Amino acid sequence: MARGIKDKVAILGMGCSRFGERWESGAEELMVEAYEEALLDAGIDGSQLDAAWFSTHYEEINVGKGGLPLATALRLPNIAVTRVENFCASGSEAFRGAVYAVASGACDIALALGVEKLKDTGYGGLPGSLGGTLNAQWAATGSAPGNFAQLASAYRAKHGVSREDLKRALAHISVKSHANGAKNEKAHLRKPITEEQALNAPMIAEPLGLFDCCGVSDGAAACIVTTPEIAKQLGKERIVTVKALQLSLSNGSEAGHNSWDGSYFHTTLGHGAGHHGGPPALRRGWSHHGRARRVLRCGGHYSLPNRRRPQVLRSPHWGLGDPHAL
Amino acid sequence: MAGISAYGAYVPRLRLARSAIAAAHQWSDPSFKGKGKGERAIANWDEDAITMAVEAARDCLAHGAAPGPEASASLDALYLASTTLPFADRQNAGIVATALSLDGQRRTLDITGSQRAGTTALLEALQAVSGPYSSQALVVGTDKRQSKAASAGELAYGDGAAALLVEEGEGLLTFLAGVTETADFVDHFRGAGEAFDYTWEERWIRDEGISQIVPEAVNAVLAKAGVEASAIDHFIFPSTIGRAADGVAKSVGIKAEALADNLSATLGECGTAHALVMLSHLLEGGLKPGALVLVAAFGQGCDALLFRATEAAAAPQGKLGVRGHLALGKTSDNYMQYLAFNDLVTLEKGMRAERDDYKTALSVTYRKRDMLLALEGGKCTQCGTLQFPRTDICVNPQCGAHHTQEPHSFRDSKASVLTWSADYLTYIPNPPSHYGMITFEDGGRFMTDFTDVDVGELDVGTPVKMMFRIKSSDRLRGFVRYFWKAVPQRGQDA
Repeated sequence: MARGIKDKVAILGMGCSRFGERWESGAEELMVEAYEEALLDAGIDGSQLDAAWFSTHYEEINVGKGGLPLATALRLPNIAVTRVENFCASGSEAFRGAVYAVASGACDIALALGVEKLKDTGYGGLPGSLGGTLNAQWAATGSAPGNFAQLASAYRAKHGVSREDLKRALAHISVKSHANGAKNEKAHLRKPITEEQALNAPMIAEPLGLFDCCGVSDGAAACIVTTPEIAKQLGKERIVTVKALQLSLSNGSEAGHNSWDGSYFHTTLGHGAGHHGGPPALRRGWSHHGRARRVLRCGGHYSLPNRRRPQVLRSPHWGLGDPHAL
Repeated sequence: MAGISAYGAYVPRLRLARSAIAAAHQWSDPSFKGKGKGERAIANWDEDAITMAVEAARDCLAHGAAPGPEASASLDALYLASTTLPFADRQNAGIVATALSLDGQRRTLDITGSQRAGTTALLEALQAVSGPYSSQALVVGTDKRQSKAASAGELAYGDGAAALLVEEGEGLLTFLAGVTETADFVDHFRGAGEAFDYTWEERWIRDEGISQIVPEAVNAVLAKAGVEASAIDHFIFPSTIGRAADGVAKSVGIKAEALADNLSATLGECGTAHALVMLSHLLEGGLKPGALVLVAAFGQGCDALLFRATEAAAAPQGKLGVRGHLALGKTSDNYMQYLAFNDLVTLEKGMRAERDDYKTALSVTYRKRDMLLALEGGKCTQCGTLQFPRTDICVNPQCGAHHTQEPHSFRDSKASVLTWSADYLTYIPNPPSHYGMITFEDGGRFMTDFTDVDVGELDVGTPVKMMFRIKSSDRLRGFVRYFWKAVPQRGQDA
């Protein structure tokens, strides 16, 4: 029986870059920016790292494949670097890898770092991707906004919500997120907006307007984890430990079996295998199916603060490898 | 004895008002002023000769003499006639056959190279089923006309397809006789690899070509069958040249009222398909038993075919046909959209449009041909769940059985919209891009593109049907990918 990892791993240090259209920086510079802040916060230097987990989603317009981009950019001491990718949950995956390595006893100190450099495409919005040799031949056209927008149509139909009411509800989220972003010096979008602005913004994918969709940002975030004991030895006074991690991936039955009504994601309920205990609300917070979170918090990606963030972490961790989700 | 036993047709939903064409060109050619009457059918950006052929064939096979798998088993040949086929070397008829689950041990032929390819295919099929080598054949004529902006063809042409089922026996129309007259009369030509026709003077085509060659063939077929020209009840002869058909009828002695409607006011001239389109249109109205039908088509010579209507032709077969499709049309005066769909103008499509130059994994295309071309999914023999695509492990969360699925095509299944969006971000030649989840009445679902849909038309619950369309084109390599898309059910279509 799984014993869980509760309190076995402590956050030693965290850091993140400034987010935004970072025309002056490539992925390498963004990685270094986040890494240096995390090292400073941790009070260690790179030679003390035992292993690293690296995440990025759009490697094809970014750093390319493998773990080498991280090892090279940070001039790591020839340690193991594992690259992970899992859409918007890529950053969480890097974090999971590092945390599990420490919890298992295989590593004393591990690094998780995610980076996304999106603004070298020449156009606005996220780039498209093909999804493989078979999918390219039949999968429906799509974009991130359009894929999530579909939930709105089914949600409206199921609950009898008018388009106007739904748009207004979404606008509240965006107004709140922009207000938060305005207070955060690292946020991409730092101007508050009004409900009218959100409602009258150009349509991206019906019914999601411009402010209902993610800002496309360049950025990186890093986290250094270790055991509580080592953290104490290194002089950390207020030790923050990981209580649980959760990940849930759809097996595709929603898209292939008529038992789903299209209005919600049941993978957000945290029924994934191998949960580590903890209160249900916490597990929900961690069940990081990127799709679910993005729809439920449309517009919430502009700013770092996140009210659903588990209190065990003091620094932003969402989407380490996917900073636009921050 | 051989005859035509079923008919069907397809006309794209979009119609371009000729007034829009005329208005666009009056500045340079004042003669366009008087040419703005009626409308012509135009293919959507995701339609071509193959997709229209599939839809016409489906209409023909849907409720006629050949519904379901039994008829497919007896159908042993498919003739595809067109001069606008997307592949010069990849059998186009094979794509149509696979989309209809008619591949396997059947003869499939592309018949092309002349405007009479449609009637040639029909004649070949009738002769084949008259002999020992074939018992039932499907003949499909289809053309997506390509013409230069401001050309006569732009006004006169239309996009469309028709399909006829030909078999042993007297059918609806019993085949009496056929004649082919060959003459290398070059009224127009299109060199290999060229996009557009080059056309000679209309008066010469009419006086030296049609007026001389067509009566030869028509008189020959009448003589062969021992029928007087004055006995002909319906004369089908497509021509875009004014009064050419009248002239032929008059010169051979066919009565003026026998001239069949050439559909120029509502559809335009569909090239090799047009004689078959006019024939389907005629049959859809029901024919008096015993009526004599003469079909002729001109193109480096002339084909002439003579038929007699049987009792079975009196009642329409309930196909959507030319009439049904014409009734479902959506008239547009958006000439610029027509230019864009037909690559007649260089548009700034944005960087997102650049992503289409990916090569197609042909090994995958073949391995999954039933899925991609025939919309074949699976049915779990353990729990009965219909699913698309077919996979090794059942998608039903309550089942999950391994290796239990038998093939099941969703091609003709009714579905409705579960989720949808209209996406203005992603590139599509006809924005916004509509896509979403559809669920099939009998089970099964998948996320699909919608096409032939108007902004504001889709809602959760909207009934849809599946249509064969272009998924994407690899312009760098000249390859077209086909798949199925959902289209809202409309009018008598439902």
